This record gives sequence, structure tokens and C-alpha cells, in this order.
Amino acid sequence: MIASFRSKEEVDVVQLPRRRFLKLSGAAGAALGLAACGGAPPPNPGAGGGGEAGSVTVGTWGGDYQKFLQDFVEPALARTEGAPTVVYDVADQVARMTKMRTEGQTGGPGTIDVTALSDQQAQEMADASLLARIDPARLSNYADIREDFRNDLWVPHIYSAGVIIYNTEHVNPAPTSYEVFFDPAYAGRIGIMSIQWATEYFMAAALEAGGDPGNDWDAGWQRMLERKGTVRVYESQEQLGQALMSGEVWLAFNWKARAYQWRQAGAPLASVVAREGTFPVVFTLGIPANAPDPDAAHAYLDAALDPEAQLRFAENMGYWPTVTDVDPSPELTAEIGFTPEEEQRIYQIDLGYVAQNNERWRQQYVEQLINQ
Amino acid sequence: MTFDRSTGRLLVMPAAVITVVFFVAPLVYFLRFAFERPSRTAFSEPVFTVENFTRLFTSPFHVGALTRTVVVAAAATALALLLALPVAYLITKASPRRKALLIILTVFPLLVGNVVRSIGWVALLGYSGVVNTVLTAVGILDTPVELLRTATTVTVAITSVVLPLMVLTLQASLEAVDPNTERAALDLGARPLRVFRQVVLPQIVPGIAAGTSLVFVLCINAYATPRLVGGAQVPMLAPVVYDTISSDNNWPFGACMAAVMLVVSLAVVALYGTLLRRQFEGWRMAR
Repeated sequence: MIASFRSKEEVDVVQLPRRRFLKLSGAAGAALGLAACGGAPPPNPGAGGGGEAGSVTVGTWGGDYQKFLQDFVEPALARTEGAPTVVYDVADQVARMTKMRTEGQTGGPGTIDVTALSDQQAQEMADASLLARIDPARLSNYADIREDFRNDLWVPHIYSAGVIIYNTEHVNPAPTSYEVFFDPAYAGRIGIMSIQWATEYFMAAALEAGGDPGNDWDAGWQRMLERKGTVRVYESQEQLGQALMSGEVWLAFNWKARAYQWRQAGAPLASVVAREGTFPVVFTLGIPANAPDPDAAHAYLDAALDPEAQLRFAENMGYWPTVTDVDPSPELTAEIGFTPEEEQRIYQIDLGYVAQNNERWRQQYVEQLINQ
Repeated sequence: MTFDRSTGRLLVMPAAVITVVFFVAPLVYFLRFAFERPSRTAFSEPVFTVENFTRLFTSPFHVGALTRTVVVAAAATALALLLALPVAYLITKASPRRKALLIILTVFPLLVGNVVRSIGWVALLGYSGVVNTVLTAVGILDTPVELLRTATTVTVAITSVVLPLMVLTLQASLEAVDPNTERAALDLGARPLRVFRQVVLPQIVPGIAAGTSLVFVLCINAYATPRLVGGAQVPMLAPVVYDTISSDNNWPFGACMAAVMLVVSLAVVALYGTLLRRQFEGWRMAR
């Protein structure tokens, strides 16, 4: 089964601070079906509102991500003693962050026990003192989290990395470098997203640097401006996916899990880690500082790290597990994983650096590159 | 039934309270951000400043978005007026049974949300949409062309959204026109078009003013249609405000743009209403 996505929001870059994010070893993943926008709370008979005894309110995207939380995490949670019932607060992450800020400013108890965010945005929430510190002693699966993913402000739920996605029928020879995004032969056949800019900055900067761009993602900006008028702009992952599958565009830089999903849908697509290297994307689960029930929240986080739940997420959404006690099949590994050689080219990125520049990058990207 | 003044005030009170509490107060609360500084960790930094306005009016992108928004809104309003007038007139002249049917047909699109209608445009005009598919199939096009993401398409799409409202407003106004005035003009030998132009039209000026004002305000604040049909390549102010707040967490600059949009809307509508009334009054008197 392949996940479909309703989201219009997808985080552009996820990054752990360099000191926390050691090189990736293992696997793959890709983008996240971050479903957005409203939606009725899921059926959860008997569940109360956030903060009620015996319930845990999970602020999450809707769509398949929420469905898989229900299908894979809830059973793991149910196995724990005194398991709380789960209530979902469905919204896109922007709405969730706004809610957290608002509730944080009122000073009273919040309404969300667990918040799902990209690590970049989780870092923003942590910077604003809106995330509680996690107590590893209360997570039985904590020891199985990949060491390089461990963090006391959130748990890594799923992750992936950026790849060149290309149409095998039209892009020949197969690309190996980000140079393909500047090849005049593919002008008008390259898709980018208005909501995902840091990937493009990284790509151009890595090309400029011939490898890890470090903390100089602006280095590729002038080169990126050369693409004005040669790229097609989409508003969501879904639109970009549709364009890739219909042949409207032949190339994009996106998460490997997305490539997997679209390929499974029948599109003649392949993906490759560019020789210049790439970076990981991580989606997290954290506990708001004003969470009504931190105990229930810890129980939920622990369930999300359950190896069976992690494996099922990998199988259904193309994300690689963030815990080490999972053994995906060779077929799944080949499909969504990375080779050891590719792993060498998945660089750590500085979350603080990206967060600091994100607003400026977005404005520059939208105003100077996308705007007609 | 008549009410004395105190009873009337009492009856108005619930609506007034709701309006103040749920509309005016939040609006004022939000707009105050326009005079504060952005903050990475909170909604704003509470320092009085006009930096946001300076930034807005010195940014080619934002001035362009504002200009585009006003132009698209004006064009969509004019187009809606042109298209709605004959339809409204037709409804007015129809038999009661047919009139009911026509009104239902007019209202029907309003039952479908803006988002769904915009998606319809995407399905129609997209790369794999109906138009491109047909034109490619019959050989008019070699490859599909970009029909979405242009200001023209956005204008047409917004027009389709507001058209029913314009029709209904004009129809209500046309219903108030005494048919005897038309009959008299016709009896005196005027042709139907002249009757409409010189007899009917001046009488529905208030309806035109109301309809166009309503539609213009809706157009200038359009969000879903520009977002879905135009995308980021045709930036209009409402989506830009949203992105500024949601993506950048820059509430002050978003509030600043919202304030400017509000002032522009009110100013244009007020100016337009005044000019229209004067123009038509003069015209009517001259006749």
C-alpha cells in the first residue's frame, strides 16, 4: 500500500544541529505526507478532550500520516499498562505552531500532549521555550533510537533525505549531479515547490561548493536565479507529484520516500543521490511545555518508537526507522534505503543556521525566483 | 409592526455585541501588530514602529502584489457586472416558474466552496486538463501549454466565483424597476437597448453600486482562487499575508499588509460609490 498525501504543507528542510546529528548510516525515507487543514477528529469513542485523565491529545497532520498513527502506533500504545485513549488534533504544522504559541502566551495549560513537527520547526518551538524536555527514563524504546538521532527535546519519528528524482523516459543519461537542474535541455521540465525552498538553496550551494556547502547556503543563490523562467512552480507535494507522474515535468529535488511513492503509483521515475551530496529530513514528536498530561505523552512517544510501528511506517510511507531494533526486508531496503557509499554523502546540517535564515530565504525565493 | 426606539435598540443589541466581540475586537487586536516588530519566539515585539509600512511600500514585490490585487479585483468586478446584467435582466423578465428555476441555477454554484471551484479550474486548465487534452487531441497544440498561473486566468476564475452574487444583487434591483416605465418608453418608439440604457439602467444604479462594491471587496480579499489557480507565480495580497504570517511567523508585517488591504478596499469602494452616484445622477438629470 502506498501512502497518498493530502497536505499542502511539507517542511522544506529538516535539520538537527550539527553537534547532534552525526552522519546517517542506514536507510532512507523520504518525504512526509503531512496532511493538512482541518478535518474532523478521528473516531475515538470514549476519548475525551486534551488533558482529561486517560487520554492523550496528539497534534498531527491528517491524511495517511494520521491514519498510520492510528493503525500502527495506537496498537503499540494499547499494549502498555493503563494506556490512554488517543485524541487527534488535526491541522497543518503551521496552525499547530500558532496554537502552541498562543497557548504558551496565555500561560495556562495547553490542549496538546504530543506535537508532530519537522525538526526545524520543533527547534523553533524549543527556542521559544514551548517544548518540554523528554525524560529518557520514561521511554523504554529510547535506548534503541539511533544514537545520532537522540535529542532531549523530541523523538525522531521518521526520516529521509533529498534525492534527484527524474523521469527515466526523458532524462538521458541518468543524472548524477545537480548540474542537471541547470541544463538548458530540461528548461521548463523541472519542478520546484513554492513551499519548499531550503532544498533548492542546499542544492545550488552544494553544486557551487562541489560537496558539503556547510553553513553557506547562499553561495548558490546567483546561480539559482539563472533558473528563473526555466522551472515550473507547484504549491504542494501533491501537485508536484502529479506533474512528475503526468510527464509535465521530468526532474525535481525531493525526498526519496516521495520518489518511492510516486514510482509505486506507476510513474517512470528513478532517484539518485547527487555526487555533490544531500541532507536528511526528520519529522519529530515532542511534548509541549504546557502539555496537560506529560505521562500520557511519554507513553505515546514510546509507542511511536515501537519497532513494529516503525517498520509498518517504513513499509507504508517509505520512511526508514529511527530505531535500531528493526530489520526491514532486503527488498524494502533496496527500495527506500541508501547504500553505504550514498550515506557518506548525506551531510549533517546546522538546524540553527537554517532556522535563522529561513525567513529571508523564503522571501528571496518567492520574490525573486518564483514571482513572474 | 413598529417598534419604539428603545425596543429597536434592544433588538439590535445581540447582533451589535456579536459584531464587536467577534469581529471588531479581534480585528483591532490583530491590526495593532502592524505597528510592532516581528519576533522569532512570539507573535511580535511590542515596540511602536512604522517599519512595516516602510518595508511594504519600498518593496517592489509587495507593491506589485498590491497593485495586481487591485487590478485583478477591478477587472473581475467589471467582468462580473457585464456578464451578470443580461442574466439578471433575463431572470427579472421570466415567468414566475422559470424565474425560480433560473434563481436556483444561479445560486447553485454558491453551494460549492471556492476551493472546489478552484480545483475545477485546475482540472479544466491544467497540463493534463480538459482544455489541453482536447486541443492536443485535435492537433491544435503539439504539447500542452500553461493555462494556469496567469493573472488573466485568476481574473476569470475569481469572476466565476462572484458572478452569482452580482446576478442576485442586480436582479433584486431590477425587480424594483417599474415595468410601466419600460412600456412607456417602448410605446414612445424607443428600441429595447435604448430603453435598457436610458430607462432601466439609471434606475438600478444603487443596485449596481451595491453589487460591484460587494464583489470588489470579495475579489480583493480572494484567497483560495489566487492560491490554487495562480499559485505563487501570481502573488496576490491575501495569500501573501497568509504566507508572511504562517511561514515567516511575521505577524507584524502580515498585519500591516492586512491593514493596507482594508484601507485600500474601503477607500476604493467609498470613492467609487461617490463617483458612480454623481456620474449617474448627472446622467439621469441630463436626460
